[in-house]
Amino acid sequence: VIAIERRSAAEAWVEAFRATKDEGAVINLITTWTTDEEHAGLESMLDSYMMAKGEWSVLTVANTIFADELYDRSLGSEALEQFCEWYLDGLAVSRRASPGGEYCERIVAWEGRDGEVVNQLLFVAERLRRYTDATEPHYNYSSVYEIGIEHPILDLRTHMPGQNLSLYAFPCLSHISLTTHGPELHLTALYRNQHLLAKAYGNYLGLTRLCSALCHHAGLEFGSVTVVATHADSQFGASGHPKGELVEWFDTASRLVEA
Amino acid sequence: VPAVVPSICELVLAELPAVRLDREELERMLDADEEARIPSRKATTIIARVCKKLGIDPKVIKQADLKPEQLTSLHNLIDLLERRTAPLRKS
Repeated sequence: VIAIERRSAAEAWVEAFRATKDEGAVINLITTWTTDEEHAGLESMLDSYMMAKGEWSVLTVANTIFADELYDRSLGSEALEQFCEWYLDGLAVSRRASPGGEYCERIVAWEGRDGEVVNQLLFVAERLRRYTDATEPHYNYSSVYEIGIEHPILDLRTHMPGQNLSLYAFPCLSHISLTTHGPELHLTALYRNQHLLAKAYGNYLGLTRLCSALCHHAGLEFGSVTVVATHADSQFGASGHPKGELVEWFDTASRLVEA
Repeated sequence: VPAVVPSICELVLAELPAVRLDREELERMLDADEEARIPSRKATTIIARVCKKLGIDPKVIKQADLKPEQLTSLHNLIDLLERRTAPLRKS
């Protein structure tokens, strides 16, 4: 187990990569950060490195969880509903890029019983608003804000022969748990697997933006985001990521973030 | 008298305010042949809505079309919709 706590997602990512790179894979990498600050410099460096190898940009990865561009804070309490409307309108197109599905789709359009569509985001957001509503002083629950991603039937591959047979397929993010603590909102995400180079920082940003939007919606303060990767793959020295090339790149990236 | 069919460009521009993008500014940039950028997820919403207005299944858009650089340029987005929907609009 490796546990890391830093101020920002960028600092947490740098420390996570530093701590895992020589290990290859780590069981239970736990990273926490306590602000919603972003680091454009790290994002740019990761984009240059990864996109040259045909991988997704940080923004593309983040958008699979929460496309912040669709969350218009100026709309106040209506912003989240508008987010869902824009997202769902575009889904028929964006699904072409991710035919297996994407996290945000499961967050806002979970397939419930008998094909009923469940919007987990609005459901949880409404509860969080009640938590901060001064007229509902007895609604002070800390732990009733769960967002499921992994589908217990469709994704349980070993129990559903013939369905979703690719063991490496979507989803890697299994669950999101939100917890209130006083005026703060804390988000914890569980990954069954996480690639540190290709995905982790984009995942961190998407989760940070999701938490930040829910804070804005409910009038809460940003507490923290924690990611538990039960299997974290540093990708250091993996195919396409030679160690020699990465050592120099990471040295520059870490100095940029930690300056 | 044949009905006036709006161009793809007009349809796209008409969708901009609905996703809270500044139509006038983007239209001016388009006229001036300047680089007009739009966020990629708003672009997918625009594509879906334009296809719906045309009565065309958004599946005409291919996976390879959805590169961010393709979507975030307003010029490219209009061109993409022109090319992909043309055969279906003519029929």
